[in-house]
Amino acid sequence: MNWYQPSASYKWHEGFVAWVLHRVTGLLLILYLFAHEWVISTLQNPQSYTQAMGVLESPIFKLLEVGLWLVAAYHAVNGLRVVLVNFAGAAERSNYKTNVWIFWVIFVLIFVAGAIPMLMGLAG
Amino acid sequence: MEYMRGYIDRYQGSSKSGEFNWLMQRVSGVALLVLLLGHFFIQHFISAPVGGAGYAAVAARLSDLGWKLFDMTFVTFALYHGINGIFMVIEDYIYSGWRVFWKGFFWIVGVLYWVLAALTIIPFKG
Repeated sequence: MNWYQPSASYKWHEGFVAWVLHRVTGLLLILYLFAHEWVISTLQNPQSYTQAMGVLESPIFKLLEVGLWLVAAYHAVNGLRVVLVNFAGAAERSNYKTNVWIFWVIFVLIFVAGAIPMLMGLAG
Repeated sequence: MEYMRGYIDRYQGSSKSGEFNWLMQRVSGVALLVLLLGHFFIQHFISAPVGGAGYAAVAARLSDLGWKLFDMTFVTFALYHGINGIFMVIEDYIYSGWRVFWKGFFWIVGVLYWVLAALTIIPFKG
């Protein structure tokens, strides 16, 4: 990899990983919002809406919907952690790492709770 | 585009204008926690599994003034939060005059998507 020589190196500590994922999921979510608005704008015409939904009812899109829930749940829960970091002292030296791990547990619980009914719908 | 550097310093420096957007990103984020999770649970977990994503059910909901208000508030916060997030990414990585170009580009994209949303939601009769 001679052609790529980064000018800075990063320690992949908990907070940095959370920040990178927050940025990536944020960009995915705004791209999703753009696509979502196009689909919903077909409501102007019942046929075009039903046609669009016909495509989106396919198993691939149902699975992508679980991915969307993953991305949205991560961004929402980590975003709340960021607010707590900014306004409630959740990033002190003494509690920072613990808080990141607590956030991971909350995120996984919320994601699984939502993904179960979605995957059951996919199977049924 | 280096010659536009002066414009960045004068109009785009985050030390001057970033504070308000930084705070509003938190405010809109917390608002979206309520709006988006509400939207997701009602539309996708409660309504959609029983046919609620079909035209009839969606049209009935969107004909309701309360839902029009909810959806307009929701999409306004979502677009603001999303475009503002893109601005933050642009400010982190682009230091040439292209910063002005890309921020202008996403301003226009954001406004156009807001207009698309308004045209879809507000006049909807079902």
